[in-house]
Amino acid sequence: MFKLLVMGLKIVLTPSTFLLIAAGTILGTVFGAMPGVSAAMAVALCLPFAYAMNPVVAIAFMSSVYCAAITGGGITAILFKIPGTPSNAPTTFDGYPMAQRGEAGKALGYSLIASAVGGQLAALAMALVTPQLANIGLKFGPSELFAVAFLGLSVLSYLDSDKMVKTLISGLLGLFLACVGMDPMLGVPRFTWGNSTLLSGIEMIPIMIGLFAVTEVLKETQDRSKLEALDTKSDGKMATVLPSFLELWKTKWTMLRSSTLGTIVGILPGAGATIASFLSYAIEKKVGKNAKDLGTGIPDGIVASECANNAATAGSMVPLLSLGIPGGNAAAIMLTALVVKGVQLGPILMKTQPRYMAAVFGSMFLTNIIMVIVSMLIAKIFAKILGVPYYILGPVIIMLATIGSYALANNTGDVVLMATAGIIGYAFVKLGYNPAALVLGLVLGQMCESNFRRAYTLTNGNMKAVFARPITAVIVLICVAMLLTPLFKSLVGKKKA
Amino acid sequence: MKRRNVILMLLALIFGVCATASGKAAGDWKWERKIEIICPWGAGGGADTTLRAFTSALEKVIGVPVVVNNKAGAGGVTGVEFASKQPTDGYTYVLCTPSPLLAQITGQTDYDVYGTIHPLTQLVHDVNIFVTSKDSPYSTYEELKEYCKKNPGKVKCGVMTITGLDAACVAAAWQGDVEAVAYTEGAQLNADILGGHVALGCVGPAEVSALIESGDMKAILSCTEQRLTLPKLDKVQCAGEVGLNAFFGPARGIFYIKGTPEAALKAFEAAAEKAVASKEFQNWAKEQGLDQRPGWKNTADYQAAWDKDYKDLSALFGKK
Repeated sequence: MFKLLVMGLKIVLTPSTFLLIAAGTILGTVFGAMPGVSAAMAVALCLPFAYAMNPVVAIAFMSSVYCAAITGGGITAILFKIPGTPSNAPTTFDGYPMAQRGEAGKALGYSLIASAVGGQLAALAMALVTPQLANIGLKFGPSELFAVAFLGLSVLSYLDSDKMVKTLISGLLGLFLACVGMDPMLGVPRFTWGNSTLLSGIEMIPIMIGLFAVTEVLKETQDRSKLEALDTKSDGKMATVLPSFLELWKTKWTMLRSSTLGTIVGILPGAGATIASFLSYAIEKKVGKNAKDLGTGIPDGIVASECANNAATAGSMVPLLSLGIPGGNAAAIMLTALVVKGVQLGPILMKTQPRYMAAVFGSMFLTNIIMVIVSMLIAKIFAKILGVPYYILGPVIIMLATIGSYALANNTGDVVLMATAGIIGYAFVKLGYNPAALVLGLVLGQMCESNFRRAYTLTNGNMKAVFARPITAVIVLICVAMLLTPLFKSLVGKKKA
Repeated sequence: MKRRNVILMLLALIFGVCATASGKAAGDWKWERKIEIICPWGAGGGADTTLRAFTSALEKVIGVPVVVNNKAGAGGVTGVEFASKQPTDGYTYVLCTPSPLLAQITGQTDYDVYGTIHPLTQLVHDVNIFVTSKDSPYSTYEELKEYCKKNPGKVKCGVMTITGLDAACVAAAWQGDVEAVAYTEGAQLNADILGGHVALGCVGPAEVSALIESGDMKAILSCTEQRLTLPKLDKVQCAGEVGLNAFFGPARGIFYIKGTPEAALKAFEAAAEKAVASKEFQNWAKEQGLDQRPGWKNTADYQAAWDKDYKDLSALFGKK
């Protein structure tokens, strides 16, 4: 394995390749920071450049774009509450409150370091144990994937324990929205009311931008005192403040948990960086040291989300390189580029041409270092907007949100969706419902439903067989234990009283 | 009489001039800016890969950039609908297969796919094969049939759409012994076959060739009239050989929207023929196993094949 590491570094440290990876990192970070441009879209936008490259260099270049895009998405999530990519949505939960308290620089610092650590740990795991990791991925069939999605959904009971019923209703509304479109199993339209646009389901990105960014602007516009506070706090000279070693050490378990989880979820075909970050945040909310304060603006929340989504990028390369099966959309685009170049990814390639794997490892290693510097510079540029008075900043955020929603598919329908989501989000906040719970339901709903129904069909409707698989049983038992804990605690509390 | 002759001659002359003028225009069509081809499916799949290989070859023939715009969703209908809203100035086309047509036929969408897009040139005609994990207790069609008899209801086959061409292959090949199960992502289907979570998969050879070559997967049957000539698949039985009428496979081609200038269509057809015949595209098609059936079809032939597909699939799936 040491040979592979040396080979990877040799490839990426060639001057021309190094420069291309640096360029890929800059492009990826900029694309990632643009709302509406997902990591997969960023890789697709860079495809024409990759076609002109040698295949080994091309995969190294595209890996750097992919990795950096996920990190870049954290910048706008923290500064403006606009998740650059869907996988940065949980970053807004703690990143934005920190920015509101005038700690935007610190929040960005945590986000960058967490991204780099998550990416590095996953890349290391990938380089050392790819075949074994790929085998873990194969053990996750429909019933196991259902259990993973259900684990993510079970966090609904923890998101806002004071308003449990309203949070659950919000989550269920998200699950309902996930049902809109073509039935994943039977291929019949559901809740489309004859509208062919709705056949492909409700787009996640405009909903997220609307619920987070637009709602926030509406809220801030009404809350005058808060506006003044924001105006005086930001003078446009915000700089990223990297956390000290001691501060980072305090989040070590969160980093380790999120990186491991991110890597594993990244490996699973059908999952990806978005599910990884939501799930990681969910787990942190349950087992983290500062679980109670999560969502109020603490570094642990940013670390959980950013570590996991970057680890998932490396994780999704594992099945691609070892089996020729892409672990996510961005990996699928990379596969296309290599196939067009005549490279047939698969188990044999890894044995006969380990250069591809080495190049990806080397690229991710290098990207995670360059990324910190590049992101700091880009964050500085974006932060200049923060110094602008809110009566100008608010419309600027709405403009960015509109462009992001439109850019997704050059479709005005998505802008309408974003605006509707923004208004619903505002009503949610006013009435005490939970927009984050709605997003969680929307993100995990389809994965949860289609895998459960698939597992049910594969076992000929034998419910016992669906849940009897060891991994599924363990995860479901964990879910049940976690769902019952608040109830148990309240019962014990009552007895003591 | 003379007067009538003069009028007729004059009419013939006017008609002739017009015909010559339009003929000249067709030959004179010059590509002045980039061409966009909409792919109604996501990046990484068979349709997208085919289109990208084609555009790469087409650019060299046509002399202007040809870009791919992925507009995935609703089994291809979203992309077709998006294409129909673009200007018909000769610079926007759409890739399509019979899948969106099937969505219309089976009543999944009210959108008139058949009436909106028109065939221009067929690029490739892919095939479907049945694959299973290396650990499965069956390796041939007969062995699987026997296994199904002993274990009724146990064997399920993963497909991408329950009302798609792959599901039609399952129904035709296994005649009720094997149930089709829908997967939304090919990656998950392949992983589930390898992991033993689903017994069979109906896929394209290119998607699994590396796994067959490495021995992690084995092919049971190809949905073709004759045996495939691909390495490692040439010994696999084909549907024609065992007397099954299960030959459905995705034909991928370029379509246009009514109103596109005739001259642009003629120029595109001529350039596409050269691009498909190019060494670059042919080598790629061979590597991908897309040389198993005649691929290229000109506008007239493709129109006829598209009309036949519409008729056959309507008869098979029934208009709901």
